[in-house]
Formats: sequence, structure tokens, C-alpha cells
Amino acid sequence: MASPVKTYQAQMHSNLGFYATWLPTDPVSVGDVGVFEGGRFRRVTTLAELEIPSKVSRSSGQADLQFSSTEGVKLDATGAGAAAGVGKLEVAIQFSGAGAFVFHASGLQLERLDNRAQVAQGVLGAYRDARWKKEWLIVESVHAADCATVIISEDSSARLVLSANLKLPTPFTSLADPRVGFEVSANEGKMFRTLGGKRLHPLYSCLRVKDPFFGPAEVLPVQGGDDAARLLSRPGIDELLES
Amino acid sequence: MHVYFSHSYRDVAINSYFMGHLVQQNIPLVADQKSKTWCVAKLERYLFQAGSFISIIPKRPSEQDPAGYSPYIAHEIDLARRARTPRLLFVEQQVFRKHETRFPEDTVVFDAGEPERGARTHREAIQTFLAKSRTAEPPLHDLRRDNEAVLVAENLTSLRGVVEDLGELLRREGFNVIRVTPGKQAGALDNVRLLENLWRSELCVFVLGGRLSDTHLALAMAHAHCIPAMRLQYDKLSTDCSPNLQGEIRWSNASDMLMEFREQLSSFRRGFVEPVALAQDTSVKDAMENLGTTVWQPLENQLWNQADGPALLRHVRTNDPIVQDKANSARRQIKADGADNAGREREFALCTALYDGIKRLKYAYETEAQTGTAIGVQKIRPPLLIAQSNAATCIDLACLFGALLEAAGLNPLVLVLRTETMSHALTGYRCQDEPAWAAPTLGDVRRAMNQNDAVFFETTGAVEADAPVIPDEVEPRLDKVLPFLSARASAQRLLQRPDTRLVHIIDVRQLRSA
Repeated sequence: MASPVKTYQAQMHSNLGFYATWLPTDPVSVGDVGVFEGGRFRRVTTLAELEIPSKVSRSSGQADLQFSSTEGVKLDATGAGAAAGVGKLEVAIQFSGAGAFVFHASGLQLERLDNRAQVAQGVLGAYRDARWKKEWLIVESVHAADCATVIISEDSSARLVLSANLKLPTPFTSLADPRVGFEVSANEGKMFRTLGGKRLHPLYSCLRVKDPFFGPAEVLPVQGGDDAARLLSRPGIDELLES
Repeated sequence: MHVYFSHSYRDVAINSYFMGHLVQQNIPLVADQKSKTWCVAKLERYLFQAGSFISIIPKRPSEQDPAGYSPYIAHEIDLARRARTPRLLFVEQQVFRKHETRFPEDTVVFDAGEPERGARTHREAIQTFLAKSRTAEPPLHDLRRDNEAVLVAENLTSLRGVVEDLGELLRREGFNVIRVTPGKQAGALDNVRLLENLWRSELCVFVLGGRLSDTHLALAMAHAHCIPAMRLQYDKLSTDCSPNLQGEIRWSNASDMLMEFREQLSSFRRGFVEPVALAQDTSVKDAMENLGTTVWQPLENQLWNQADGPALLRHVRTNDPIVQDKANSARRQIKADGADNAGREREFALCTALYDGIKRLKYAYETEAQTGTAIGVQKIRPPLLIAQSNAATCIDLACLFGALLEAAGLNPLVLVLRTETMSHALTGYRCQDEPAWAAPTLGDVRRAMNQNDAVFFETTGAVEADAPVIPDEVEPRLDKVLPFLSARASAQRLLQRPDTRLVHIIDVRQLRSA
């Protein structure tokens, strides 16, 4: 049976296409270079340290994201704060399966590598200089969140009650609302939680330079064009889960 | 006596409105089930057997004529006039205003936006028509004999072999064949026995040589009387045996012509469909949709086992001449528009140009018939068949666009999706610099779409449909089609739905190189 964390990572990836950072508070940045290890990304170095120039862009807008496991989660907001937004707000989360999870993030912005083709060429150069290992991955994009909450049930049944005292009218919209300071008021069963973490990078994606392209420059296939796609691949979720 | 129902298959909404009236009056309508074969002889036979004629003529706008209407319906109306049968024409008001002299004086107009406003007039017109058609008797009705065919051919050595073969094909279809060579004893105009043979026959086949002859005169006589006729015109310059609007088959290669003749004969023999009876058994809308679904027999290589995703690649027919032609046009167009710079903007412009190119062809959207193939097997039309049918299903279009995108140099992706209520197919492309995905999931598709690393669009937006094809199509269709950006938005909504499941993803280039 898959571990609760693997279930969380698999479902996040199969629905959003990004890897869920594990632990959610781990620092992962665009341009990080590393490997998957034990279901986590382990940074080895960075493009900057390898003197491979990288250009990173940041999306202009911000977005909120809420995602729950396909089954096994029930979330109830009660108290004065639920509707009117003044007074005590209480949110009860009932989990009925190991691996059931809640992911809420606010103020998400996408940061991504813009010069993939140049980076791929830089990687090939670094490989020829014995500064790059074929299995290394490059973090190509991350979602930076102003605030994020991740709760994963590790038991087949678990319950968490969060509460907050509201001084201003604040309707309940998210467990990652930076205006609401949630605290745990009741807790049954085993679970992992990151509650209202600030400035996290909870989602990321990776690229890898394709193995056939490693080698002396003169044996690279001549294909023309400057499409970086021919040099790169995207690892699947299994590679992370089985690491 | 039956009433022949002439209508445009793709206008389900307006057809359903009038069908509602006709069902109320319990009119014994007969209609032609949609097929890829245009067989004028069959229409002539229908008009003869039916004895009266009702036609619904909606607007079919084109760049040349915003108030145009279907040339096929126009031809049916002309046939009905020649057959001298009682007729009732309902014509869309803008079409009538623009083309008034093309229609008889007793034409009844309707407003396509609010046909109910004319409901009383429409009802009365139907009642008057019924009274007239009850006493009508088609002029040649008593003369016509079933399974009699007359083969009228010029006495040319070059045609002799072909005439023999045609006679044999007719015999195999159960016809008693009389062969006539006009002009041999008397000129066609003076040959009354020839005229009587034409009147008597269920089907006349004319084999015409290069020069104007008595056989042409005989055909003219048959044409004037709306006698079911197949017109086989030898033309050494002809390269395509498809019949034109008038039903004329111009041929230079005998084998090709005989194949087309067999197809025509098979279409001719197919029976009527009774839409009122069908509507009474199901619903008016279902009856209209069934009638407008093309009946065609697939070849082995036009079938796809739905469980075998990669096998879909065989249906992405990039080397098809139609595909190559359209891709070249799109390339030329974006070059002329100054959008031919490298990069993702060029890819987007190219995809939009391909989409608009298909949109201009005014194909109709069709759902797949639920019968005719084994469970789990789907028919997929190749590009030529789409063009011949003037219609396509979502999977036909997904494969067509996959081929067009590949021919244009992009990285096409064909998606087969399922939601709680439907199965559907979309097409798109992986953008420049975006690598192929290992074991892709819906998440990969969503990520790429949201990061503009892939573009997907609702391919059925490029073909005419009366109503939204998928529930996620919320922006209105303009002249029954979607602008490209709306088609893209529809696809995005579908892909973001929580109940959407990815059944197959075909990365065309990756799969071809595997």
C-alpha cells in the first residue's frame, strides 16, 4: 500500500502536473540542481554555482489554489466567522483514509526558467568538463506561495479542528488566508501538517537533459533548429515516488 | 402517398421545430438518411415515389453570400418542380428576401430566430398543402415498373466494354436491363419507344461520349420528366469520378467510374427513412439527429479499438494530400500576415490559421452512430471522407487536426477524455522548447496548458453545430462555429473539470519516433 505522503504526491501530480515539495517547507528554487531521493528533491548544486546562465521570470498575477484528495476529506467551517466573519471561526477537518489530504495555498506566483535551450547547452558543456552528472535534474519552475497549508492524514481516521479569533469581518475562504491565524484546537489521529506556512514553494517541476545527448559534441545528432525540446525530458511521477 | 422531406441535416433546431408541426399532422414523411454519396437518381426516385414534397430551407451563409442556402436543397427544389408534384417550401426570411425569384410564389417564410412567431401561418400552410397532395397523382406513377432499368449508350467502340460492365452490375442488383442506342433507327426526339422506355424504368443509365449526341437528347428528356437517371459522361481530362451537383459523373478511367457507379447503385437501392415515425418512437430532436448522421461502411483501416491509444496514430494521416494542402495554405497565410517569426507566437498563429482553414470549409458536426461497429470499436473518417461527407465527429476532427498540426511542423497532441457524462477528444500541440512527457497524466496536460507549454482547443468548434457540443462550450457560436480563442477556452474548461479523466494521450511525433 502506498504511504500517505506518496498518495499526496501522486494525486497532486496527476491533477496539477507539479511535484509537491516534500517536506512542504523544504526550500526549492528555480535553477536548483539535484536528484530525487526518498520521495524528495535533494539539492546538489545550482545552475549559478555551475556558472550556467539562467533567466528566471515570475508571473505577474497571483492565484489561490485549493485541492483535496479525491476522497476521504470533509471540511466544515462553523461559528460566527464562517459567514459574518467576526468572532470565533472554527474549521473541522475529518479524514476518513490514510493519505487523505488538504492543500490550500494563497498568493501563488509561478517562477520559471526562461532560457531552457541555453541551459541545456550549458549542461552539455558542464558534462564535457566533468562537472555534471547525467542523472541530475534541474528545477525548472516553482510556485511560490504567500501562505500555504498542507494537512495529510496518516491514519485511516483522523480529525483536526482549527480555530481563529477574528477581529475584522473575514469570511472563511481558505486555510491559507494570511489574515487568519489558525491554531489547532483539537486533534485526533496521526497526521502531518504545515499550517499557514509563509513564503513557501510547495510545488515545483523539473527537467533533465536527455541521456543520448551526453557525449562529445561531435557525436550529437544534427537535427537543426533551436528547439530545446529535443534535448530535454520531463521525468514522470514514478521516478520521484520510487526514488 | 408519402411526402418527401427535403432539409438541411445540420440545422437540427429549425428542423425539429417544423418536424413538431408535421408530427402533429401525422404526415407520412420520407427522407434520405445522410450518407457520403450524392445520388441524384435516388432523389429523382424519391420525388417520383413520394408524390409530394416539403422543404425547409434555412440560411447557409458563406463569404460570397451571407444569405445563401444549400445548393443541394436548391437542386432538390428544382427536381420537385420538374416532377410537378405538390410542394410546400418553408424558406428562411433573409434567404427569401435575397433570392425571392428562385422560389415559387406560394413559398412560406420563417424567422430562424423565432420560428414560433409564425406558427399559425405554418400550420395553415401545412393543412392547405395536405389537402392538395391528397388528390395529387404523380404523372408517371402508373407507368413505372420496379426493377426495370434502361441502359442508354452511344454506339461507340470505345464505350462497348464499359457498357457491358454496367449492364452486368445492374443485373447483379436485380434489374432487368434494356439496352438502347438512340439514333440507330430514329433520332432521340422522334423515338417514342425510347421515351416510353424511359417512363417505364425505375432507373435510366446514360453513357455519354465526348460529343453531343442523341444519347444527350435522351438524357435531356429524362431530366425534364425527373426520371431517375445516372449520367456517365466520358471526359478524357477528368481525374475525379465524384458526381457533381447535377449528378453528372465525368470519367476517363473505366475502373474508377465503375467503382463510383457501384456506390451510386447501392445508394439508389437504399430505402427511405420515415422521420415522423422515428420521431413518434423517440423524440423529434433524436429523429432529426439520427437522420442527419452519415451512414457509411468503414474499411478495416478506418476502425479504431478504443482500448488501444497508440493505434490512434494510424488515423493521424499527415501525408494525406488534403492535409498537406491545408498545412501549406496555413503556412503561406501566416507568412503573408507577417506572423512567420520563429517561436511560440508563430506556432499559435499557424494553429489558428489551420483551425480557420477548416472552419471555412463549413463541415457539420456529427455524433457517431451507435450501431454498425463492434463494442469498443470506433469508425474514424480519413480526411477525404470528411470532405466527401461534409461532416465529422469529434474523433475524426481530433485526428484531422493532429495531422494538420504535424504537417505544419508542430508537435501535435491528441487527447481522448472521459467525464461522468461523455467521451470526447481534443487536439493541441506541445509548444516549442517543451519536452515530451514521460508517462503523461492529466496533471501534465493541465500544467503545460496553464504554463502555456501546450495549447489545446475544441476541434468541433471549427465545424457547424446548432448547439454546444460539450457543456464546457459556454461562449456562443457565431454562424454555428466558434472563434479559435473560444474553442481554446472550451478545451481549457473541459480539462480543468474535476470529473475529467485522461483516457489516452497521443504525442504524435514522440510516438512516431518510438
